[in-house]
Amino acid sequence: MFNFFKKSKTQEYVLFDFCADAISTSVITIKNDQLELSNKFEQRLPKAAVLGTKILNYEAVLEAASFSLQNTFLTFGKRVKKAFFLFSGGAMTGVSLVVKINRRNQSPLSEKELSFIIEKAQPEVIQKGMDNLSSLGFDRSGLEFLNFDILSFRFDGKTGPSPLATTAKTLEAIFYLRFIRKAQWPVILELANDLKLEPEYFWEKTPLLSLGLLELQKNGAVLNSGLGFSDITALADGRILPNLSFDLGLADFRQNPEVYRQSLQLGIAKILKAKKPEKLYWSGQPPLPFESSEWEQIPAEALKRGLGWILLKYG
Amino acid sequence: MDKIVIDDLTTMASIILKIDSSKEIEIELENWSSSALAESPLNLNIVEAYARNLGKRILSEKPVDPEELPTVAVTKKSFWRNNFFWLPLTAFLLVAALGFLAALYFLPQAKLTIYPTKEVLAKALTVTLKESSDGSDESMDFLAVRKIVVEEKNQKDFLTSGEKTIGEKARGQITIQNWTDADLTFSAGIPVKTEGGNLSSSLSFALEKEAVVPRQTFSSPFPGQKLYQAGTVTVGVEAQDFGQSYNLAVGTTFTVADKPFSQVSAVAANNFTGGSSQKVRIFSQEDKTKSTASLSADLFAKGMLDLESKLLGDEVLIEDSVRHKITTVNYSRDLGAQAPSVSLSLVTQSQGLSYSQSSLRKLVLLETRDVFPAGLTFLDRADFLEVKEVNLSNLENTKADVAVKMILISKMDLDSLKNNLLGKNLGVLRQDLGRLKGVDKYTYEAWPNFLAWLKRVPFKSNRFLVELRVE
Repeated sequence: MFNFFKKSKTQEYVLFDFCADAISTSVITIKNDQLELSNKFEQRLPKAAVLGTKILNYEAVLEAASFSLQNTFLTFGKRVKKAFFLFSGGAMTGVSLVVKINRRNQSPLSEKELSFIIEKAQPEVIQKGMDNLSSLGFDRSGLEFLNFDILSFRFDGKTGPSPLATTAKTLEAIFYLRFIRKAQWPVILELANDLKLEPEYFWEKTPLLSLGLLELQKNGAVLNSGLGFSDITALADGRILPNLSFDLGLADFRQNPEVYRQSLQLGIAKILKAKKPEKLYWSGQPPLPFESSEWEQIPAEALKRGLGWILLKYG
Repeated sequence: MDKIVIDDLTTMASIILKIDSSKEIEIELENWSSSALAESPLNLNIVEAYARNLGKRILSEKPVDPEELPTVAVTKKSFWRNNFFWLPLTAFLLVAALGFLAALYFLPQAKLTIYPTKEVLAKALTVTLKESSDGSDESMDFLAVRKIVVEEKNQKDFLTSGEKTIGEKARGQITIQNWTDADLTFSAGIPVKTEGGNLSSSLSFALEKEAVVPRQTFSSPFPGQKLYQAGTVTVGVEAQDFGQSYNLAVGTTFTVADKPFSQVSAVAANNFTGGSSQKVRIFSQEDKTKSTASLSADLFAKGMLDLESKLLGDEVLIEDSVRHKITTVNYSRDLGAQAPSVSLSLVTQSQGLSYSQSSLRKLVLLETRDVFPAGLTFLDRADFLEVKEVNLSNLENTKADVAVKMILISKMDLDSLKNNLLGKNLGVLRQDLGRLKGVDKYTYEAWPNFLAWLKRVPFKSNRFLVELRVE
């Protein structure tokens, strides 16, 4: 399940970035542990092709996605099949959990033992993740568990990238679990199939950007805003908290900025449980229509760092 | 109580507007839990909070727990157990027949390469320039330019070419003879010129001091006879120019001032000596002009190279914007000084504006994206957009004229084309490609050759490659 060894051969993925108003595609190239993004092409979607997380005009979405992909492949010089799907608008949500394990074994921790521990903990972790999302008001019957990643390990109280070969007695892992809306899942798979892509990764953009921000900031709120949606999450002590979406976006709050600002505060308070965020980050089409001096735009490299975290560290 | 019916097209913004306009205290959201908006719990929280702020209350049905799907166990009857004896033969024949059909279905592969026609679009744009310290261009409304300033210094020796004659003036004594009846006084500096002889032109001398020459006298050695004797005085003269030619021999005759030779004459009382001359080189105005022009041209050329060396990343210098000037100039000798060579020190300053090629490219794409002819698209490839020239269009350096050449190709949906052709006769392929606009030419390669009699495009999508190639 996990490969902790670095890969040396060249790998290529097509990055498929899907939000309510546009689709963009680019190529991710990984060579000698370096990740590069290139050949980006963006195609805007017709108005009302997508409403919130719902695709209303599948044909228009497919046409735009095909055209964008075609241009990316033409400029890259060849077709890439493996795909990294990135969504904006609340099609997915995630939750972080700390899992504590006491080891009885005194020998150095092997990959096999680690896989066994993770596999054993998995059902309980998924259950706990579902419970957490339910407590936030999510309808758990509408969610499907997609995958999880481990953000970091602590063994005998020390933080490190990998606990392998240590004789740690206690092991803590921060799991980040991702759930997708059941109604969205068949549509996404159909789109991938129609585009002749082999989907290998599915991520929501906001937590992915948060992963990229982790090196800069361990605590804070993160907003990703589109024309018709807003997705927010928060970082707390290096963990990514669940992301919550609401169906108001730039197009709405330009008319009524106060409603949008209050919605944003409500969402952040719900995620952080009324704790004030240390820092506020956002990505989207500038400018923010309300007082934005306290909001800092997410650096462009956060996306690349987030992708690197997934594809280079645990790819 | 008011009621808002939620359907597929209901948006959060529309619900908020309806809550705003409702005059009722209680508002029911019908079909909320089955709508897409209910997928995010935050949506309902926002609507409730908004209504609460207006003193209203939202009523919505609680999410319905979906029924659990029953698990159905399916037990299959064993057919093969009852037909055991037929199994090997049937299986063999079936596998052979399926294998043959599968080979025909799966094995052939083909590659269709389409070469689209290209159209050249020449555009002339005027872009706004703004100076920026790091050359970055985030807004894309203008082209960020960076001012680069370099200073050049050099010192160089130049041979002088001006000429000047220097030397000593000849000096000697002359005896002035006065054949008039009046005393004559000649002041210092009065010119005295050679007279007659072999000299082709007269040589000028000047009296060194005032000379008073008494009038002529006469005597009568015999009755009725007068013998005249000129009044004389001997005085020093100095040549008016340098040269050995002024070293005259004793006895050379002269005219004095403007007096006729018959009335006043002079004769060299001794051999004139000391006259000499030579030509030397001096620092002339022409030398100054030429040396300044030569060294400044070198420094301007060096300044140009230095400006180019200061370019960062993909920056390009706007040649039109380059300005050179001389800031300091020093010569080792004054103008007119005698010197075989002179040393010139020059300091120049060169400055110019640079822009990032990628920023200009982005700006051009932004400015031209709506002007492509219908059915054509721009393929974002480096060699498909050529910036021909960038010239400043006003004196304030705030505008530039940009001439670009873009290569456009026809829009094509290759996936649809491919799916339409799968399993089709090659005639259909030729027909479809003939109808497709914007195709310059195409090539079709199929494998294996022995199955060419099928004359069909492969049935399997992964065995049929359609690619667009632009040369």
